[in-house]
Amino acid sequence: MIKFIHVTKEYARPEPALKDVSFHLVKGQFSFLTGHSGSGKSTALRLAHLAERPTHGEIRASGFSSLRTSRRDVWKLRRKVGYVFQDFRLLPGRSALENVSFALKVIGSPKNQILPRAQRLLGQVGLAPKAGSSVDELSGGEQQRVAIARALASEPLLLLADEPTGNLDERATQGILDLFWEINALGMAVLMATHDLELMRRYPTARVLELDQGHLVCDSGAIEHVERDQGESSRPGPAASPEPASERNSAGETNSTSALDSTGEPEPAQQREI
Amino acid sequence: MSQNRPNNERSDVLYTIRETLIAFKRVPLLTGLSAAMVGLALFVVGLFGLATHNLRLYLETIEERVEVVAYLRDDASTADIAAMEAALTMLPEVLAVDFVTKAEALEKAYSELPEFNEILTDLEVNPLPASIEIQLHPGSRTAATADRIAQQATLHPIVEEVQYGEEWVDKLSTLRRMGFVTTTVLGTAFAVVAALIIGTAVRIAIFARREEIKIMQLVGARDSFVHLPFLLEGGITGALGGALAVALTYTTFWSVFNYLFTISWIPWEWAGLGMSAGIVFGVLSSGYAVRKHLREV
Repeated sequence: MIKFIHVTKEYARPEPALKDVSFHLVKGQFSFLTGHSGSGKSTALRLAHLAERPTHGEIRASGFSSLRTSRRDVWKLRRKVGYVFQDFRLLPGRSALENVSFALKVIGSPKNQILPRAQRLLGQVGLAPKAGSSVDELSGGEQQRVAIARALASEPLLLLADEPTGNLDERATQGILDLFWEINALGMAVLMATHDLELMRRYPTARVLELDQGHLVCDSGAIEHVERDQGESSRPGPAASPEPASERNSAGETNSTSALDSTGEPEPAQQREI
Repeated sequence: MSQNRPNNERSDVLYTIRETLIAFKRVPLLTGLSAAMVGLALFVVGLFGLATHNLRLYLETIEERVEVVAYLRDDASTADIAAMEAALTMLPEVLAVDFVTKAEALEKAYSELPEFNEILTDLEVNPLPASIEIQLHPGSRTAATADRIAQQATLHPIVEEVQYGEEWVDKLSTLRRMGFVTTTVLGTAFAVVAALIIGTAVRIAIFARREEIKIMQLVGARDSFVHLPFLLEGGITGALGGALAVALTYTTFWSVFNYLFTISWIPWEWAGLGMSAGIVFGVLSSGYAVRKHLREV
């Protein structure tokens, strides 16, 4: 589904934004990408969406490689990988229905199917009654639901979400997370960047990838793999869920197993059971 | 897949037109301001064109007076005059030759110099010589050519004297060169300024919609799909601006013609060229601006 292979991303500053990051998310997996501000979460998501290219290494997403996909062909990837932002990025002055319809038009949906599909997508995110409302009149949680409906328009296999609850209150946050969970239950992989540890604790079966200063310091998917080899349950429950490294000790060190196997290749994490 | 392509292409074209019209409807003020900026920029070029055109016509009128006059001896025979006329007509720079008899010269003097009518009437003998007036082709009305033709004419033995107003032909040539340099430099400067203003106007309109471009990209729009509505919009803005510029230039021409002095309207090809320039600049600016935003995501 998505694979980071020794990915490094450098900007014009001394420290790289990402340094030798490798992980592999499989189909239908729900994963949190966590870390402090500036740890490289957004960079990783932007790279996964090919909005930027890695300085070193390779990213494979839904069959597209960062090494072989030209800028002109990135649109093909974007139709298979949805993206949700913290600031929603909706078209102001247009209704929820128009925002979702716009995405359907863009991807070339047949004209007679655009409205019914947009209405169905809004219904899926619980916003059917407010389809005709201007997005400027909607609450933050509702706007994020519109953004999610829009991201689902192309029926992607993977949904990337960059701090999607960062601007929302607790209730709206819970609603959005539940929605992501439902979407994931339909088979869509979700990779959600967040620094909200409390939120992650509520979903102990999700895989957790933790970045710290551009390094992948914790990957619960890799731990699952070790546990499975030791004959333990393949489905991590609340007790099996690792706490992010930043919670474990004050020095920021981690005892987690590396995300890489002995060959240096990223090990595929286990698929969550739905 | 291939069967769906024509339908998809038709759908894309319809989408492009529809989105362009919707964009105009959604932000009429921004569209209007962009078109007005384009119009004013081209209006300045239009005024310059109007002034240049009339200056050129005025210079052409003056140039028409450039002619070489060969005054003939009184004893010149009709055969010699005919031979000289034939020889001059053969020269490539010569447009026409016209023989003026002594009587015609006197008649001309009567009509052109009425203040000397009394003196001319008192004369017992016509003192004015017969002459051959040599008109030059429009491209040959220079001091150098006039001088060369004058020398050719002097070679004929029946010629008494040759005149072509050497001084003012020289001044006219200098004026024409100055006019050419000035109009070229100023015209280029105005065109560049107009292009910059049009580019800025169109880019401001696109900058206001950069989020839309980013969203289109993020949901998987092809670059061409993003480009087309904006290119069409840039072209229409340029065309509207061009039409406004033509209207303003014509209004200026009409006002000057009716209230100040007689001038000529620019050739309509020039007006068409101005509108085309507006469309081309609009499309190019639009394409450049969208391309820039596309590369940001």
